Amino acid sequence: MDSVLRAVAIYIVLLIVFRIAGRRTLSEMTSFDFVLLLIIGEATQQALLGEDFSLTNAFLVIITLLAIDVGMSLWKQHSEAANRIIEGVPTILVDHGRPLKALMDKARVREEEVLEAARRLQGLERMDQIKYAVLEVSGGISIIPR
Amino acid sequence: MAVRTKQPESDIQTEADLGLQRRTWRVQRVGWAIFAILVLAALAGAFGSGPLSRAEAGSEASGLRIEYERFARLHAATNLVIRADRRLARNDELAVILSGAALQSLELPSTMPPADGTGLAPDSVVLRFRTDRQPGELTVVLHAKPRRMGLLTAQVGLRDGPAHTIRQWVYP
Repeated sequence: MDSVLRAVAIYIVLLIVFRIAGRRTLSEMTSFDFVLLLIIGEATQQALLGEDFSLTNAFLVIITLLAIDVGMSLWKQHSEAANRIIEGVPTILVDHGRPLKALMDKARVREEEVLEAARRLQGLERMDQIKYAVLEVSGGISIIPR
Repeated sequence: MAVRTKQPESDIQTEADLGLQRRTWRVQRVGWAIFAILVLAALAGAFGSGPLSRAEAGSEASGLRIEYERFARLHAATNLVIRADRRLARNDELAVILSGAALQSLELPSTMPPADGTGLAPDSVVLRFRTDRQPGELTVVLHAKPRRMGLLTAQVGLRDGPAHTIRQWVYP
């Protein structure tokens, strides 16, 4: 019982914390972000396993985490509202070459990052060549050229 | 709700195999159900700590009751709560006798309260606890860690008093 409850608690806490931190946090990872992720994993591991290093405990924690994940994916598939709350919604950052400054500030995306994505994904050179730039739910920026 | 749609016939170069994909999905559904059953079983205590795992040996009438976990895990802490009637203490001392698997297969890092003395008896160990003279129930908690997996059978008893057998299943 403890194993399951611990796994559920950690899942919920991480879900909420990462939702609050925002999606730009762990996508587009820098090496520091990567280290941060490792430390978060280390800190979580202690709480997940407690003092119980048995195979059974590890197995139950893994099964519980996966079961919640599958359950969440089914819930998101059936409920649009749940999906929007848990996953978030895409945001349009550039509209026909015009950067939407206020939205970009809120989303913590700089113009330079949009241009970088435009170069990388579409080989575009200037802002006015972008029809739409969209901050996707996954945290990446997708570019639609004019 | 089987999906009966066919994959489009096209010249795209993939290894698409809808038959195999459907079988995979079916297996996954079954797997999810097994996940759910395992999680519910774990919540109920089938893998330790939970209502299904709570067990008690002995009885109020015999003066000795032992609460323990029916399911424990290898090298993970499990508690045995020994409740004895004050009248079973001799010379202001309660002597708890452990034998069977309790000796070879359980690590006993500590007791609460700490034992005032330990002793040896044939095939068993004796833990002695001083008591005061107030009537009532005496409670000793043994913090144990199973060292072996499988079924453990141990006897917990009192000197010149009742003894009860406990059976514990230890998961790996």
